[in-house]
Order: sequence, then structure tokens, then C-alpha cells
Amino acid sequence: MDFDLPEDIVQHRDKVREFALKEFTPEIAREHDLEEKYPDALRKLAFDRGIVDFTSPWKTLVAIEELCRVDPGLGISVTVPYFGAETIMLFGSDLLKEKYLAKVNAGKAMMGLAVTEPGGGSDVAGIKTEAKKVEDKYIINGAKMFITNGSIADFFVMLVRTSKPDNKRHHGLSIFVVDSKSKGFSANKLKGKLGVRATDTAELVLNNVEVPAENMIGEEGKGFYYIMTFFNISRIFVAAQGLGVAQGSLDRTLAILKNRNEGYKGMEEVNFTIADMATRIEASRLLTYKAASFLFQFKPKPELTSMAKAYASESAVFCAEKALELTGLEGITGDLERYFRDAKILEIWEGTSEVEKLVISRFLTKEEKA
Amino acid sequence: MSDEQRSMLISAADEFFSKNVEPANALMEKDGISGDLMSRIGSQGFVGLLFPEDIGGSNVDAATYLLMLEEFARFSPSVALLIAVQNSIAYPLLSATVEGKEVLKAIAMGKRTAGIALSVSSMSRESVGNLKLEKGVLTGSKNYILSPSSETIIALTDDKPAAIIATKTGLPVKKYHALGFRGNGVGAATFDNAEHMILMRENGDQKMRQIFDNLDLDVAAIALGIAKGAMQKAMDYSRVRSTFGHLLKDYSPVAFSVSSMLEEVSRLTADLERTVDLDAAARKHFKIRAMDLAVQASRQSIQTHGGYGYLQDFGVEKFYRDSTSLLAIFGEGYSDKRDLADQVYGEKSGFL
Repeated sequence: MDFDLPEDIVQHRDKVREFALKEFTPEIAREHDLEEKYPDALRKLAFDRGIVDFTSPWKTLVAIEELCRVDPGLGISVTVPYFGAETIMLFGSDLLKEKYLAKVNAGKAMMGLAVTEPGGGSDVAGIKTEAKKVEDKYIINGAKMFITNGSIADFFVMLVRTSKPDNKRHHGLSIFVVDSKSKGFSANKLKGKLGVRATDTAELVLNNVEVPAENMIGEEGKGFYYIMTFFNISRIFVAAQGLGVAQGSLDRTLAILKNRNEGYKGMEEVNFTIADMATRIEASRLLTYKAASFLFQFKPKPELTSMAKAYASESAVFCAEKALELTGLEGITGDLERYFRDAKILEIWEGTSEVEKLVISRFLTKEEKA
Repeated sequence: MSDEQRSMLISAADEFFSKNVEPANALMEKDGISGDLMSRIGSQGFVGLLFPEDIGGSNVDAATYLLMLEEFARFSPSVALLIAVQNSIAYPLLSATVEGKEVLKAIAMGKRTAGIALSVSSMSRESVGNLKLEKGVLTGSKNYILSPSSETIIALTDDKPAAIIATKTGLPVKKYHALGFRGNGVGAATFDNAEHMILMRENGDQKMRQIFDNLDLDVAAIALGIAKGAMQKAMDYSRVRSTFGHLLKDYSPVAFSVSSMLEEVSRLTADLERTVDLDAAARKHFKIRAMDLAVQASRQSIQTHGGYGYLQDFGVEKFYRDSTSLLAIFGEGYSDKRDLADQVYGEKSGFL
């Protein structure tokens, strides 16, 4: 058993860290956080420098970890223009790959994934947005909520209901590529988020939006399975976000304590808390890398991915809270407080911790029954 | 004060704060507590709660005061903390002089407020400030002032002998983008040549320590108010929000955590009335429990609300920021736990 990452991944990690430390200055991070402004210039720079390399999932994973370690809001922002791309990669037609994905891969377009609806979060099968077929197109009506890149993306992969459910609620759902410039499409940016304020989040409203039939991804009625497959992939990257937030919280805590010339920095209770933080980070990293190893070899273990997502997210919140407890006034008035605000969303998006626990327990009981 | 009078007063606070303070929360988080709002709170007699009547106070007993603070914090932790500073810091320090009493009269009416420069024991003196008082002249600055835009700033000097001063006017302030208590704000200010009154010429550090120890129950009451406010919102939301065809409250993880935390808040609130009679160790322990509960409850409330809890509009995220800030400001590092250990052991303990 070898716990070392391959040399090319280690080199990429170093390159990303150097980039983040240079470009994610505290001033830039504060500005985008305060003004709730998406860092488009940084997105382009990260793309041009090869920081985000979606041809290699391992490089993507360590890049997310290192970018979020320096600043979670900026880190997530520059790695999220591709959010939802796996659905087209895995299930989309060549036409969709050429027409939409190629532009995203070339850094010339941004995309988003539109699943959640107002009043419905974890219950994916309960969505109400409808698409009705009229000749060679579909007409979509409904609304989507908390959509990342909502007011800036060029297109969205959107889950809609194309037929009434039979005895199973998750039947009758399909996914489409929906152009944000379509007539009847509007996005309202959500302001006043607790954290990740550099990321763009919006509510989408679809009023008789016409979508060509060729924009359906995969087969009609299989949307729920496609989205669940996507989540089983994307959750590993949320785990990487959690690792970055947790590690960054610890880095900054140690830097503050090191500068103190009196007080509690040498007190054992403080040292124990630091040790707890570091231990949780290391445990999260091992779990995340193990789940990623199965996933990236096309042998996914969703229960492992959910464990990694839930544990790394909870560790991010734990470390960010402990960091402020240890650093006090300096912490709550400096750059560390952003980690605290950014961390909490990780326990909520792409499957709340509760949903992850359901996934884990269902896999365990399924195996028991078998 | 009879139980009936106390309960009427708390009901009046509940009604006033729900109508006047809660709707102002979003603006308050952005621009700070407005002078107009403080005037309205003052006109209800809610600012100078512990002040005697001759300086415009309400002169309530200590237990009622704590229950009122808890009630205020349920709607606005920022306003509750500002009122606590006026009653438990400004009042004991300013009431000794005629000039100070005049300031207190204005504070009771909500016409002015006092901010406090924080001196935190786990940080180096240099990082807290370098305020000096020499031959009646102030020089230097303080780096962490709570409610720094106040017309009066109370501060402990960093030289020897340590004095306590209060400025007669407000100071130019550099405000931080602080995590919590944004209604109050945290900032740094230079005191050079500021007009001031001297509240204590020496041993100010001991007096300030005593004042902050006496603030423990105020902090506990605010923490309980945060926990109650956050959990009440979680309970209300779980009663109306459905997922997978059932109300959230029907799911055991939600119902168990919300109900057990609300029950714990209720029990601690009941204890709050008798905490004034407890010894220092018990009060310290009470504060630690209340602060931990506030963080736990506000975190859980966001989780129960899901994505909506992450938005300012739902009024939950501020509880999470404020509860953690309360812990960071008033329980910095492990100073509370070390104090508790000292008191329980009866000698210096837990310092390694």
C-alpha cells in the first residue's frame, strides 16, 4: 500500500499552491466577499495557467483542495465554471459535446447545474419544473433555486419532469441543456449569503422556454439516474473543498498563534485542539483519496464518497469553529472569519450531511440483505 | 419585582422588539444600530435597566435584567450586547462622578452609547493597543473596540499605573469587517489628545477584570437568547417545510435535535433567575454552557433550514455568526475554562 500521490499530481499541487498564494491576495478575497462579486479575471487566469485541468480528475481534486486552502470563496469560484459537465460527458450526444462542452473546455463559456427548486432541496424526485414536448422541441415552465453560476452561466444542465411519475416518484424525469439566453429565461441573483460570496448563486425562472429536442441529455425519463450518478462524482470534489477549508483554517490558526508572544499558545488544551483539527483533516484526506481512488478508476463506491463528503464537510466546520475559538478577536476580525462563513455551506450543498448519511446507511443495509 | 411584573415587562420587550427591532435587523447588520432605534429603545426604558431612577433608569433587579437581555438577544444579539455594555460596564464605571452621571442620563434615554476597548488576556499587550495617559494627556490607540462609533469610549490604558478613562466625544475609527455583532461593530481608534474623564487613576486592570467577570451572566443571557431565537426559528420552519412527503419535524434527527436543544435552553433560562446568587465558579460554568449551546443551536438551525438558512433573509445565519463571535470575544482562547479551573481548585490551575 502506497499513500504517496504520483509525482505529476504532486507537481500540479505545488503549482496550484504557488498560484493561489500569489493571486488570491487578502485584498482580492475581501473585495469579492464583501461585494459578492464573481472573480471572472481569476477564472480566466486559472484557466490560462492550466490550474484547472479537467482532463485529470486527480489534478482537479488536489487543485480544489489547494485553492480552497488559500481562499474558499475564490477557490470554489474558479473551479466551478464546469459544474455539471460530467452529465454531458457521460450521457450527452456528440452534438451536445461539440456545441456546448467544447466551449466550456476551451474556457470560453460557463455552465451550471439546475436541480434544486424553491421549497425542495434534498428531495430531488419531488421537482415540479415541467417540460412538454411540442413537435421537435420542449417547452419548459418552472423555477430553480440556489443555482451556482445562476446569473452568469451561458447554459445549464437542468432536471425537469417530462412525464407524470408512475408508482415511483423518480421516474419521468429528464435532463436538458438549457441556454440562458433563451426567451422566457430569467435569473435573479441571490444576495446576502453567509459565505462563498464570491460565487454566483441565483434563482432561475422559466416561462415557456423553448429547448430543441436534441438538447435532451441521454434518454427521456432517466434524468434522476443521471443526476444521482453526477452527484456521486461531484461529491468527491465537495470533500476536496472541505479539506481545503479545514487545512486553511489550521494554517491560519497556527500562523496567528505563532505570532503571539504571550498567552495560551503553549497551553496543552490549545495544543490538543490543534491536534484534533490536524487529525480530522488527515482522516478526511485519507477517506477522500480512498473514495476518489475507486471513483477515478471507474469503480465508484457511493457510500464511500458520501462518507468522504459528509466527514470532510463536518471537519471543515469543526476546524473553522475551533480556529476562531483559538484566535479570538484576531480571528473574527481577520481573514480567518471567511473560512468560518464559507465552511457551513459544505454540509448543505450537493447533498446535506443528512442525505449523505442516508446514502451510507442504505448501502450498508442493502449489503446486509444481500 | 414580582413574577407578574417581571413577566409583563418581558412581554412588553417581546412586543416592542418583534415590531421595532427584528424588522431593522438587515439594515443594522449593514450599517450598525441606528441612533433612532436606540432612542426608541431608550424611550421604552429598555436601555438603562440597572440604572437608578434618578438618572433615568428602570432600576430592575438583576434576575429581571438577565431575562430581559435574553429576550432582546432572541431578536437582536447586537442590541442586547450594546445594552449589556451600558449596564454592566458603563454604569459601574461612570456612576461615580457627576460628569459620568450626565453621560449615563443620555445613555438611558438612548441619546448616546458607550463603547468598550477590549483587552484580551490571551493576546499580547501590543496587539491590544498602546494607550497611554501622561500628565492628563492621552496618546496611542486601542485595536479592538466594541461599538467603536459610540460617543463615549471606555478604555483601560496600557501603561502603568493602568488607568481607566472614558472619552467625552467619539473618535475617528477604522472599522473591521467583523464576523458577528455587526450592529455594534469592532474597530480600532487613536486616542491622541482626546478629551476624556479619568474613571480610575490606578489599578484599572484589576477593576476591568472584575467588571468583565461580572459580565459573565450578561454574556450567558445573550447566548441563551441566541440559542432560543435560533431554535425557535428551526422549530417553526420544521413545522411547515416538507421533504419526501413529510414535514421536517416528523424526521427523528430533526425533531430530536431541535427538541433537546430547546429543552436545554428552557432549563438554562429557568436557572438564569437564580444565577445571580451563585458563586463565581458556577457562574463561569453557566456562561461556558450557554455559549456552547448558542453555537450548537445556531449551527443546527442553519442545517434545519438548509440553503435558506444560509441566506440573510431568514434571520438564522446571524445567530451563527454572533454566537461564535460571542465565544471569540468573551471566552477567548480558553480563558473562561482556565478561570473556572482556578476557582474550582482554589489556586492557579490549568495554565500548562
